[in-house]
This record gives sequence, C-alpha cells and structure tokens, in this order.
Amino acid sequence: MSNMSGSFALFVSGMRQIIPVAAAGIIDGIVFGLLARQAGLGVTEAVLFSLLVNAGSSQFAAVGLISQGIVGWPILLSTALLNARQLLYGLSLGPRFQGTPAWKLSLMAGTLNDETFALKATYLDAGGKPSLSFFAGASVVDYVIWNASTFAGAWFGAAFTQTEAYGLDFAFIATFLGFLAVNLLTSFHVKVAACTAAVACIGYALGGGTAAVIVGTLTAIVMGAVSDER
Amino acid sequence: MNDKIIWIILLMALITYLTRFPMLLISSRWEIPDWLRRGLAMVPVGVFSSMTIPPILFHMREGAWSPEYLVAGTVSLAVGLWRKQIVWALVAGVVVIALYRQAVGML
Repeated sequence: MSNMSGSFALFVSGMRQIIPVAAAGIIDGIVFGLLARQAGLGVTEAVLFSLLVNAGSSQFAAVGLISQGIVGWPILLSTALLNARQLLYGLSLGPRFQGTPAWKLSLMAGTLNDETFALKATYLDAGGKPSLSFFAGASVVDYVIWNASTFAGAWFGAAFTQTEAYGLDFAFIATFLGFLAVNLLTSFHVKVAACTAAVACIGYALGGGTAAVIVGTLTAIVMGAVSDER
Repeated sequence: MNDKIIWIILLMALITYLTRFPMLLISSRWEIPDWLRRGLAMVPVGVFSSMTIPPILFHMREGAWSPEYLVAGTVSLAVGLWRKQIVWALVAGVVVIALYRQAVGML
C-alpha cells in the first residue's frame, strides 16, 4: 500500500514537473496544426500526426514536404534522420533501467520525445531514483498538451489565409534553429555544426534539401566518432 | 481522407518508435561502444544545421536571392542561444520576418 501511494506521488510529481517544459510546446502545437491545414490536410490528419507520431520536429518537416507536394519516401527519410536523435535518448536512459522488464521499457519508449527526455534527464541528474511512474506522469501531460494544441491549431487553421504576411513560411526553419541552438553545448558542437553546414550547402546545391540532410548528418556522425574532442 | 497520407503517418509512427525503443532496450542490457556513442551524440547538431543553413543561404523570393531568411535566421538562432528554449526561437524568427516584409513593403 505504501508502495502504491509512493508511485502515485511520483506520477503526480512527473505530471507537475513536465508542465513548464510542455507548455512551451503549446505554441509549437498550434503552429503545427495551422501549417498542416495550410498544407492541405484535414483536422483529422493533423491530429493523427500528433496522436501517432508524437515527435514535433519530424511532424513539422513532413508537413513542410507535403506543402511542396512531396508525399512519399523523402518524408520517411527525414523522419528517420530527425528522430535518430532519440536513439541517443534511449542510449542515455537505458543503463538506468537495467532491471526493468522489456515490456515496460516498450511502453516508456512510446512517449520518449524531446520534452519528456529533457525532464527525465534533468530529474535523474538531480539524483532522482529511476521511476517509471514519474516518467508516465510526465508523458501523459506532455501527450495531452501536444495533441490538444495541435487540435486547436488545426481547428482554427483554415481561417488563416495570409501565411506569408505573418511569416509562417519561416516557422519550420525558425523551429529547427531553436533545436540547433539548444544543442550547441560545447565549442566542438559549434565546430561540427559549421562543418556540417558547409557540406550540407554543397549537398543542397547539387541535390536539394534531402541530399543536404543526408550528407550533413553523415559528416557530423563521422566527426563525432573519430574525434577525441567533446 | 487521403489514404496515402494515412500510410505516411503510420510509417512515420513506426520509424519513430524504432528510434525510441530498440536503443533503450539494448543499452539497458549491453554496453555500447564509445565511438558509436560519440558519433550518435553529434546527430542532433548535424541534422539541425543541415536542415536550416542551406535553405537560409539559398533562399529565393520572387525569382531573386533574398536576405530575409538570413536576417530572421540570425535573430532566431541568437534568441535560441540566449533563451535556451525552442519556442522563443520560433516566435522571434516569425516576428522578424513579418516585420521585415512590412518594412520592405513586399506584401
């Protein structure tokens, strides 16, 4: 019984602590819903993205491609590349959950995104005991906020017509610049970003956006693997 | 509803799950080699810089190269570095480009 109330307290604590992190995603969710409608998708399709994929950056990229009339493998490739960073999240959390049954990890993985990982990592770094209840609480709130704001954006999105006047065509790039900014942790990261950008520009000039992301990401992986710098 | 879009969403969901679960499971059971760990650690920087910098530098508007993305992008990245939150970079970039277009009178 005390164990029950203990995990319930951790669940509630996770729910509380994710709020400031997930609240920042409200605007992202609304903008995503809006852009999905601008790309010609319906409310149901926009919400299905957030319900089933639940990974903001790849959803933004997919809708960007759909708005250019690209519906096919480039979307899947960009999803794989963008979400490859979640491999890292698994990599850093896994060792903390050595005794946890695989089926529980499979559930936890379902909602392992930028926001929930950021909170989990902060919680564990602060000395918190690895707790599935805490993570479940955080995940539930994050999921509800992301889907509700997507729905709101998609619902009101059709009324929005002059996207260029409001600068929304730049929303994708601005969001990814935000992701880039929060990932520039050391001078080595800055160096990798600069080299990647140079290689990606060549790829872009020769083969377009998808080619740029492939050659750029490979450059970054190789630099990280061979270098001793951090 | 467009069937092709539904398939894309389902496949995206599958791919996304494959980036979340297997590595979590593997690293909870086995050691991961250091070089792989270091390489993967650079994935976010690599993806985000190659998704943003080329479209900013090669941005065309009405048939000619335009500095509007470069201006808004610089502000957006600076705000992101300052606030350490993605949403502020988004807001700053969109606001700057809207103001820029007002100022240049390209609307």
